[in-house]
Amino acid sequence: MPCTLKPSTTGKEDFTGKTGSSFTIEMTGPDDSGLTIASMSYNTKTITAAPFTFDVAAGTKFLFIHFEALKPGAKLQVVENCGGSTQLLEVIFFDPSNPGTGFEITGS
Amino acid sequence: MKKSILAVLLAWPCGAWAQADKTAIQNYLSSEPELYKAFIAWDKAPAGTRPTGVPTAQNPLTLDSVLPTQRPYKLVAYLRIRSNQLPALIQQVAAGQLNKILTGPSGGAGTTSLVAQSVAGDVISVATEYGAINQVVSGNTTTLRGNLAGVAGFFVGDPYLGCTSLAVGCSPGSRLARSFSASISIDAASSDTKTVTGTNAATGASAATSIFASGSRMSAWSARYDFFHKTLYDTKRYAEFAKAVQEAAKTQQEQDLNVNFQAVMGEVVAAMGRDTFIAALQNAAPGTLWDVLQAQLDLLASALVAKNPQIMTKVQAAANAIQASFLQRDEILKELQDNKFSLEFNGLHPLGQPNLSNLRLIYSKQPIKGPLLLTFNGAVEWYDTVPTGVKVSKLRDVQLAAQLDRQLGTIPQLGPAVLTVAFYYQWMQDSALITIPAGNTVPGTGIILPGAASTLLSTKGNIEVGQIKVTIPIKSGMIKVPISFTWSNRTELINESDKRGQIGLTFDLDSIFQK
Repeated sequence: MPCTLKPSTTGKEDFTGKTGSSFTIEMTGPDDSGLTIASMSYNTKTITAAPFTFDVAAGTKFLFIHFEALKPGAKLQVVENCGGSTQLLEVIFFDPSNPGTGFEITGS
Repeated sequence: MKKSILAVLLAWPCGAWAQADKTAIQNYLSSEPELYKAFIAWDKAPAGTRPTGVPTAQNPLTLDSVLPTQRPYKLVAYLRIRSNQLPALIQQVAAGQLNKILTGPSGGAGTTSLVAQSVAGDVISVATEYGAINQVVSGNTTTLRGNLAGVAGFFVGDPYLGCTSLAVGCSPGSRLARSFSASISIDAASSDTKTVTGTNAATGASAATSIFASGSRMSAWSARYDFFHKTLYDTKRYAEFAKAVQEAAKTQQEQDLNVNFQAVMGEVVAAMGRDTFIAALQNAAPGTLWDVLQAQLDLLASALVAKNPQIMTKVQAAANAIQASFLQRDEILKELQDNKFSLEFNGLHPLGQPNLSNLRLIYSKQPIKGPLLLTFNGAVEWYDTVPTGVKVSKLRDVQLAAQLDRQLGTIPQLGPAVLTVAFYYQWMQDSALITIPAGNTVPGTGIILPGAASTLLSTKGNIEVGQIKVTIPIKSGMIKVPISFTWSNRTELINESDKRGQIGLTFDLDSIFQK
């Protein structure tokens, strides 16, 4: 299954996607990182348990991810689950003062 | 590049940003060592050579990592710090305050008492919102609890004196203040009374008194110091942490966090030229990256204000939601600490007894990885003042207690039940001392006592209490039903064995106080 989110070619947003198509976000990290996703929200929808699946909305919307971990500095990855494979979206070194991230996603 | 610099200079007359306090920008980046190191390297790199876009194995961090969208918590903190420094934001904060003053009284009915109540209500409400004061009602006793950093921070306008999260790290002073808390308990009016009898400590005559009476009164106060670990991230209880975070995610606080972040970041997305932001960083001359990043963030702040003059209201709401979320996380991390140690001083004002004080040590330990918790208490208690003519020691008693809590299996549709086994031992140095207030009659006679009389009860020696309890959660733990059986060889004031079965109902009021 191809990935829904495409890295922006214009730089005006982080990712683009076909409006209405769904995408699933996951995070990975070392076993001893204690990584746990608390919630994600996008286009008025908030999800607090996996799977974190959303539909690409028209226009540019913000995807917010709140995660926690037990190891400051642990190398974490935000990925899109594309069916049998994953696409790396962001690498984060866990910072307890910024336990969240986000992306601009434009539906077209 | 020239275009970006020109825009910055136009936006901030006199180049004030270059001389400005660097606290905000340091805070924006410096808490994550890897990103900080990368940023320093990028600062030295020639313009146009810095990595951008999605990460790769070679470049896990790129300039995108410092975008406000990828540092949302930091952006909120940045805007709050700069709200005291940037002219556009200062003006807006002042305007917001003016609105508050003007609209406050208009909501009331106009009477003096209503306005006074409203102000008091707002103070308590805001204090609760900041986590400065918590109110717990148990039976006829209302207890107000305050954390020193929370209360002091509320009054100086700096939540928790800057120690918004123990997990993040705090200054030694604010961390110390977070360790101190105090409470005051008020007994509401009660018609339930219990009569105890004994002998007048001075004359040896028999006497009786009620140990409960009507009227609201302060029954106790306490001060407590919790010893925190240097870092709260020293636990390896991953499964319990994940479970607690996921439980917390179901609360209103998590909803508020998402709603308020979306409210702010929606405006950020609309106001920020992402490509321009990245281009400015990419084109910055070596050695100027810090200033360019700050300038870009300040430009964003300016654009946010231009689009929505009330943006700081949303930023403040997001800051409150972050604060609540951090407090929730601190609680989870504190709960997961294997060893916990607290020191507590209590001032007790029991009705019908002289005032007492006690000093209590509390230690809890999770001995195994499973959900088993051991808690131990040790306390010494003394009379604040021994009434004249009474021959008892100032030391009243010594207390020791142990409790074991073991989580049982999950009950379908309800949740995990908890088994508690506890034992309490108290050694009374002398017989308990009670006070019969002036105006009461000596039992069996018509003699009215002209002044307060002290009476000794025949309760010297050992008190032993054992309890076994099962607590069943309902509605995800919001309601709990404890079922217990308690046995005691006697009580403090009545020298009779007591056996008691009890079914209770407790409500977790946090969900009510959460905003």
